[in-house]
Amino acid sequence: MKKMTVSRRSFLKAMGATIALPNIITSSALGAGGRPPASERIVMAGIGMGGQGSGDLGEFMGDPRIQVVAVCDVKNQNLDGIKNAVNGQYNNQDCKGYVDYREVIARPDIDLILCATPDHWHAQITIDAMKRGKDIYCEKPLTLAIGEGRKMVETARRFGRVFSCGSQRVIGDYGALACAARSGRYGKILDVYADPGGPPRICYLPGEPIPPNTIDWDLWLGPAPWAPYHHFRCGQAYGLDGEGFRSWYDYSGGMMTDWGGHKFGAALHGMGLDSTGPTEIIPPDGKDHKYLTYVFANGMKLHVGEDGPKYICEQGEAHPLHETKVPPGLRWYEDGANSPIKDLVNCVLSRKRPFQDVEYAHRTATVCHLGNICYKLNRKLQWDPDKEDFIGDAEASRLVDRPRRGPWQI
Amino acid sequence: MIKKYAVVLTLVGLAARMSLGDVWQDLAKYQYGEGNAADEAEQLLQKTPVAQHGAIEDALIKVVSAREATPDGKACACRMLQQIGTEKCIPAVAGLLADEVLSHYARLVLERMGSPQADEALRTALDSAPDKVKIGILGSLGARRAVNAVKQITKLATHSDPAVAAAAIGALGKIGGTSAAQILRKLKPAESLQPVHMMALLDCARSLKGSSAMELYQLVLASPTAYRLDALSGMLGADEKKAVALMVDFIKGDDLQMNRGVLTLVGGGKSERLTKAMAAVLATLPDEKQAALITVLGVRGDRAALGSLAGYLASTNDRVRTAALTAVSKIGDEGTVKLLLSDGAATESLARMTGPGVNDALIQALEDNNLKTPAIRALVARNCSAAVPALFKLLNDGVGDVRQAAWAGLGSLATEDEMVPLAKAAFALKDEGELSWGVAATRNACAHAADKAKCFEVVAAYYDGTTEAAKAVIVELAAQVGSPTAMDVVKKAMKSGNKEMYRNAVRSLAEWCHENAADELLDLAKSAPEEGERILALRGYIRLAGNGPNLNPDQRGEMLKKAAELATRADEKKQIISALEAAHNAVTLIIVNRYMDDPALRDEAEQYAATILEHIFTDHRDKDFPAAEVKELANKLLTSKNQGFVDRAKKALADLNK
Repeated sequence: MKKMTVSRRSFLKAMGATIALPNIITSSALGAGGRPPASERIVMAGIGMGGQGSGDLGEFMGDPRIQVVAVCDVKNQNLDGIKNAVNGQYNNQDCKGYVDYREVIARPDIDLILCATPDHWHAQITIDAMKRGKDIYCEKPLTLAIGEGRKMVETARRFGRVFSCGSQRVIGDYGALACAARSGRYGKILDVYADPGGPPRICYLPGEPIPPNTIDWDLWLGPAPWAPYHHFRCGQAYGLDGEGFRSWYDYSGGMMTDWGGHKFGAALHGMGLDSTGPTEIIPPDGKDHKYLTYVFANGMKLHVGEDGPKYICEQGEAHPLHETKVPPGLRWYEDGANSPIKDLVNCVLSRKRPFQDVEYAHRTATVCHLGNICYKLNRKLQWDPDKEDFIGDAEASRLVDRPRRGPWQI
Repeated sequence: MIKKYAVVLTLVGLAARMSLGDVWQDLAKYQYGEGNAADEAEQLLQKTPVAQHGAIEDALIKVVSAREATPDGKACACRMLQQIGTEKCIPAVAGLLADEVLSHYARLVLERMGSPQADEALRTALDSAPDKVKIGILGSLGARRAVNAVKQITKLATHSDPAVAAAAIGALGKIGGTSAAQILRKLKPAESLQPVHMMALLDCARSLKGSSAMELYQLVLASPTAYRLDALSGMLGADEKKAVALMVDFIKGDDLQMNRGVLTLVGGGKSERLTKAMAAVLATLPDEKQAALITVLGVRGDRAALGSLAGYLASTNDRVRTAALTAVSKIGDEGTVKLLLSDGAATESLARMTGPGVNDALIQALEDNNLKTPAIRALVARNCSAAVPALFKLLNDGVGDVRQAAWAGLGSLATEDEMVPLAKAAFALKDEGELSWGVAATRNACAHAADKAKCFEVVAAYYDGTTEAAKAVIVELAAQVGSPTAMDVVKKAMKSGNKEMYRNAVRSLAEWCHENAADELLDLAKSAPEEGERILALRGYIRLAGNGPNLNPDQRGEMLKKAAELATRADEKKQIISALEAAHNAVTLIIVNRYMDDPALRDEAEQYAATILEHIFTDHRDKDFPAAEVKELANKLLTSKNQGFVDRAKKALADLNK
């Protein structure tokens, strides 16, 4: 059987020869077969094709404006399965498989990148891709560190890119409640509760042999500190049970960032505070503060507890209204979209900013990271949401960003 | 309890070890996967007040410096120094910079440290470090914007190893300034390094102003790449006039990537010159491009474009007109409201308009005969309760469509405070059609009220004197209220002697929102005159067993037991299975055990069997579940085709035997 995967070595050999790379626009990509013309078509690639990535790709492929021409994963098992699935759906062999994302973003025919890798790769891949003129759909959580998010926003703005983060729950699950809380029926919002789950921990698992032909380990680690292979380091298991990457500080912000992308994202959206941040973060002390608490400049508080999101307003707790109406001033999907993926596809064509534009996603991720830093340092922190730095706490400021392993820089 | 003891013992042990300094000795010997030294050291740091971090730093410096310390121990020590390290630790950490693995851990400490000594350590290491390690050090120097390292880095920008050269070029761009600019401008890198060089030029240009920046942007603009977009956005700050002219060209041109990118740039930023130039170019574009540019001018939100955009509301091209509607609503204010109301399709746009005067302008438009209906629609979409008094006035409007819209608006916007006048006006209507509008409005207002019971009291007072059709609406509404008065109304309907009204009442009970209908439903399930009514009642009863808001698990279990005795159809039994999860007790265990034997229910029963076994043996071991029933269920589940369920059953049987 012909091997479709382009090896990293062969790519590096051809490095720089951008013009030598195949310009893979198929006949159908040009509007044949009843599909939309090129100006209304989006040629895309998926990077990080585990469970979430392949699921997202499936939704993208359900949109006739999308054609997937490349998939990429450092795990062979993920890669082969998804590439065959895409080609099976299109009934051709146009979709190519890659291990190294740099080969994918070097292709000039690709407009849009889906990034669904583990968190420690999000900033690197999306920033590199935006510099190559690609629009982005990046799975949540957006980042591994606050500093990464600001650089992602800056790059999107500098390069005129459309960038959406992915949480279907902010509107899908919690949007009606946000509409109620902002409807005026309950008065001013005072306190919001939302509990995404706990922070990650550092992984001290011992090394074990890498099963042959399964994973490019150095590439999986990427910008993260070097560490020996262990299948639980890079596992896809969900949760903080120590069997998947989400448990580990070097690759994820734990459930705080994972479900924080949903619940904090929803809370900030409903509070109308999704383009700023808190001014104070207070750790739980078992007395005055039962939960970790974020205090915002307007006096609203976000408490990390009680499942939520739950809005306590002047007139009591808000509940979804009989009829959901989006109040003026509450951001929503564009052009009738009903999911972040549809919203992004609309915006790639219209050049509007999607509902989960990178700035909002960055502000959400920042709240998650601030919580993790507060848990780690276990003291009250003052935060400047404009400068995006802590006030008067040099130790905390060190944790705003993470130095990256060479050669990975953003 | 055992967990609590374990935590206490760990903390006691940790405290003892802290005083002996064992934690740091163990950390120096630490290897991944062996012992807890790294976790213990982390915990110790977390528990130590900031004022005492100096002592911890001293201990960590010893670990980092110790010749015999393990690489894993040193890596862990660096992680902690990343947080608390001061200039004191720099010499020790710098000793790791040349190490292929530990260099990055050393950079964790140095890269974000404010001290210039960190620059010095990185610069010193740069010359002697192996090439592979140089790459990371260059990254740190770039991130630190280490201007004093430019000379050293410049030498590496032409290194024979492309990866080293790329890192050096990238670092020069990040450091920026005139020296770096001069070097980058003269640099003629190999083709493979051109993307890195472009980016470095752009990064560097951002650190400069005016012509110095323009010189670098011009170099990038000469290349046919997406990097030109950043050059354009940067040029807006350096030479706005030139940048705007180029952007206009790209908007007119056929380069799809640049066209899309420039449109996005137009959507952001604050240049008034850009707004005006884009508004001016609109008229020269074909429809498709016109619509696209109007859209992003709306996103841009600059009122300087409003006059031009309003002109496109009359476009004959649908895409252009729709784009103009959206854009005008985004930029416009109360002054734009009437303009948008004149367009029948503008409700959505009006609904999302912000600005303090928009609601007032819409309420004012209720006085304009041509705009009343669209204004009502917009006010409803905006949830504008301030419009309620004006809507009451419109109930007497001379135009039927306006009266109907006003009733619909009141149904949506009225609160419990307006319930009395609303119901009075509604039930006073004589015309059957108008009465249906009024009754629907009272129903809707009651259904979305916070205090439904209070509102229903008002509506119920009109029950006896109204028409059969209106009664049916009140009976239907009663299900959503669930109050004693609501129950009285439904019982009255059942005894009315009207067969259709009786059915309405049964349907209402089947949808009842409160468990106070349980006894009524159970009786109906046993003895309602028609089979359809008995089925409806039983389904309602099962639903309440699962969802009734104030029931405890035992009460739910009892209800489900009674439902199971009555259920004869597979769909009813499946509904029972789906309700079992709300109870999880001995009764539900017995029910599912019985249903496991029915092939028609097997799939659903297996799902619940696995769930309850998980429940019994994880969270609720102490609950009184009959062991024989548990064993029987687990044995039945062993024959499942689902391996996960089989594993669950095996685990349950093993747990039972413990």
